[in-house]
Amino acid sequence: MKKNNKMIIKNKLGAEKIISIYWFAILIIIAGAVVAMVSLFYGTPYDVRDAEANILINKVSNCLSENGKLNKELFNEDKKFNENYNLKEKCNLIFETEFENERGEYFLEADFYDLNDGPSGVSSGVKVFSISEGNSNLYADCKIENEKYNKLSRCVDREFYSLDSSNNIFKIKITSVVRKTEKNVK
Amino acid sequence: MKIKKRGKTLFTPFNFFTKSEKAEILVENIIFILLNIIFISILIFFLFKQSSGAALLEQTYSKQIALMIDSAKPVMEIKLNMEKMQNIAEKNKVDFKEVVSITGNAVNVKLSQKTGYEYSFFNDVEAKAFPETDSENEYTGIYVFTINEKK
Repeated sequence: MKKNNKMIIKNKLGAEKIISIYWFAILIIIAGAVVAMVSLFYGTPYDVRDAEANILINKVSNCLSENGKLNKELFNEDKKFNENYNLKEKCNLIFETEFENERGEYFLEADFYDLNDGPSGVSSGVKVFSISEGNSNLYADCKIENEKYNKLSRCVDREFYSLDSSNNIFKIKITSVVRKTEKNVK
Repeated sequence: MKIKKRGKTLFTPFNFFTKSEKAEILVENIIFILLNIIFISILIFFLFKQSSGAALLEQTYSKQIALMIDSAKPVMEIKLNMEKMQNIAEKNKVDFKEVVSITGNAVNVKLSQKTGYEYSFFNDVEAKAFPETDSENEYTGIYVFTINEKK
């Protein structure tokens, strides 16, 4: 009976030791998981490219059209679109960044669609004019729509309607592309 | 069932261990609970430390300020509450007026002597940043940003 009791106590102590080893192993695993998750969460930079692209569109649309009327500087004296309109200069934009990418981190394009009724009485909706600024190579990234490619540039496009001085209706589609992957994507 | 040893009851179904063994179990349990509490405390401390780290705040504020300048129009004055940054900068022995600097079209936020984070803005304006001071020339924790047209 005594032997039996001693064995029970010894077994219990042994079992407790094994449990404590397992317990510490579990604690280490939990700590490791928490550290890994936190590092992953806080290590990933904030991606502000969408906000940046939207602000860029707002800025350009305010510059192209004011109070629903297209900027007069967009047109020549003969009321045709001015091919020499400098979007960067007129909209106070500076595309030089801290990155070494000489081609630029931004691309901006504004397409003008004519919504006036044609001779047949139906609106053609044809693109009549387009102006762009920045690194046009970035535009190719917009065609790839896949979550796997989040390291590519971020594209945002929005459109609005405006009138010219003769009350002709135009749809203006602005596409804004921001790269800056080094600072926004891990 | 009772087993007796030198007149003392060794164990019954309700009293398995002796007094000394009971004390040992109590101490073991207390140490075990204390270790668990220490472990959880370290984890919570680590989480708080990570979420309020200088590097993370530098990145957040530099991007926020850059976007703020992008959205601004000349002539504007924007005030940004940066009390949290002031406390961290003071801890890291960085003067509050050196926390935010704007060179060219890049915002640089620095919260410690060694680190710093830079982010560029596309709005071609003359932006300046300086900390607000009260009548006693002490920092209020607010940063003032002035946006003017480039000369």
